[in-house]
Amino acid sequence: MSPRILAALLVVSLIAYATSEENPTMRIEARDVVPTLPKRFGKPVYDLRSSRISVDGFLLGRELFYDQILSRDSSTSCGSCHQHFAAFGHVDHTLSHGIDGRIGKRNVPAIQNEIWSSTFMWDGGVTHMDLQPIAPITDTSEMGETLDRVIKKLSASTKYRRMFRSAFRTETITTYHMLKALSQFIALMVSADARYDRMMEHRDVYTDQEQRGLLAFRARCAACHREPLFTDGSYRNNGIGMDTALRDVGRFAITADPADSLKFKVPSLRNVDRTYPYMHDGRFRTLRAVLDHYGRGTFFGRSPDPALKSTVGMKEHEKKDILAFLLTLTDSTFLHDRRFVDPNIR
Amino acid sequence: MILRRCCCLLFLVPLLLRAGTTPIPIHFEHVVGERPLRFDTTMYQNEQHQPYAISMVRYYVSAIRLHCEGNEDVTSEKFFLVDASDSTTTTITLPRVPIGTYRSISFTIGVDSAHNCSGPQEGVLDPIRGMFWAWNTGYIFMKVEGTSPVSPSPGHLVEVHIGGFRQPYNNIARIELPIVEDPVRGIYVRVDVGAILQTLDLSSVSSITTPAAAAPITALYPRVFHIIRSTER
Ligand code: HEC
Ligand code: HEC
Repeated sequence: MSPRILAALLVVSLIAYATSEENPTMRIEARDVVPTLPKRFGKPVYDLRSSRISVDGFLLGRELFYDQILSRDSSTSCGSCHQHFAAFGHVDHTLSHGIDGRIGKRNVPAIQNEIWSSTFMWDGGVTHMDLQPIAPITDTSEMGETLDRVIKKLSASTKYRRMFRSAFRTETITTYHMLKALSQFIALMVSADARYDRMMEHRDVYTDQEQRGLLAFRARCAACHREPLFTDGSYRNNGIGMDTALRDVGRFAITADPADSLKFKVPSLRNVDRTYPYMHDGRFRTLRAVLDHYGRGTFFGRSPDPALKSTVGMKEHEKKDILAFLLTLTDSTFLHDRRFVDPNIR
Repeated sequence: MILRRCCCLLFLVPLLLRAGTTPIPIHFEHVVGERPLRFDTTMYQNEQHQPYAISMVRYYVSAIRLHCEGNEDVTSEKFFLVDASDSTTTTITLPRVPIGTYRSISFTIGVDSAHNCSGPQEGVLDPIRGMFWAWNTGYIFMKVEGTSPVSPSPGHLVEVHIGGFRQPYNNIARIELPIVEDPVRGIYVRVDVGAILQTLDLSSVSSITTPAAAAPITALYPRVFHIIRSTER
């Protein structure tokens, strides 16, 4: 090849690079949108076959996730509350912060391994992953927008018309395709490469303390925070008692069954080091405080879960071991995955 | 010559068969008690002498079935969203109904559990229509909204949102009404919106927005949906 042609090629590819929609640090290719599905995790609940992930669908989902256009006053995106470095939870705020500085009702949970989940939110009110985004978009204290106006705004944008066309071969932008695109982004948020995972796959070894922590965790916590997702997906009352400000009744609000009062979904503990503060109302700032709660054995509410018995009376050294173990659930591959970086931050 | 005539008749057979069906419009007429429904400005009164005005009446009609005497029933699998303020939605037409004697019509007020559970839907079931609970996945089957000076809600709002597809608060309701005309050319269903607010104490229960709270309201449907003769109109 002559130097001239080479130079021309270089220029062309540079231009293509510079004008590409994506984050310049990372080109997304077909192999980047294949979800990681570790055998240990079992079969995903979300139907990946009928909702296949494409490069263009993923890029559109990511664009939407980080775009304030989904909120009424263009101040808040999904990513404002769900921060990548916090496993898509939100550090520091006990309760979520939405448009107009409004305070939401609950602590922002992490978004990870959602395709193995059959219900969403702290109370499990949402029963399909695709339908989850409607809740924050339309909630007056989160994004405060109507679906009608969101679709109008997206339809008025040349960028989005182009992106929806490439992702779904459609000229009209609909709620259906917007939700499917967001799901293509969320479906790839799989955390499966923490030190815990590598240890399980014999790619890493635990220190003695971490190993003791794992065993103590299995004896005391795993009845609810079941491996490998670190949740069994059930609703339980872990005895922290009703918060005094919001009087959140949890699962009861969905089922109206008094037996569900003060039950919340068992959260995953993956990346738990990054998702402080803790619990649905963010009442504990540190893991230490969480362990102290479980160990103390003073449980509030009408019917604290019987499985809490196993947590009572933890010795100091046990707490330290469990803490060391919990830190092995931090998945830096996930937390630094360049596919998830906001495409508009360069 | 005779042969020719026979041929002609043969040609007519398909035409006759086609002529054996007819479109049947189902008209939904909205009233409050004896009075026609007027939005916003007209005040009505319930049993407790509480005044109220209506601003919105919308509901899903699905799984329509015409029960035929001696022949197969006519069914429609489509979903319809009736909005009392939009005359393009208050008549549902079944396009090809075989001419015959129909005993009754039945339909569902609501959306079956399959369509509640299987992710986002399109058309009239698009959540953009505002007939969807975002925080407690499921369709709102019927929405009646208005105001009453006695309502303690902000803006004196009165809202009855009926939905819920899971036991014990499965509020998917099946309505069956007799068909009184033969041959039937159109079906007139009178929807008495007043019956829904008739027994509520609007000074305490002004907002019904959960499956559990809505369950007692569906028990009122027999007083809401009536069939009428076209001559009564
Ligand atoms: C104002 C902050 C805020 C914004 C903006 C926001 N969320 Fe959330 N998100 C939350 C909170 C708080 C919860 C938990 C709500 C609850 O349990 O009631 C949550 C829950 C979720 C969950 C469920 C996690 C689980 O496993 O239960 C997903 C998925 C999610 N959000 C995705 C999104 C998407 C997609 C967007 C953008 C369309 C978005 N969120 C916008 C605060 C926010
Ligand atoms: C009876 C079931 C059960 C047992 C046993 C249990 N938990 Fe929990 N855990 C829960 C529930 C339910 C929540 C959420 C409660 C809430 O937010 O109101 C929770 C929340 C947490 C959180 C907060 C996570 C977050 O992101 O906010 C941590 C950390 C935690 N548990 C750690 C532990 C540890 C460590 C043990 C063992 C010592 C343990 N849990 C035992 C049910 C349980």
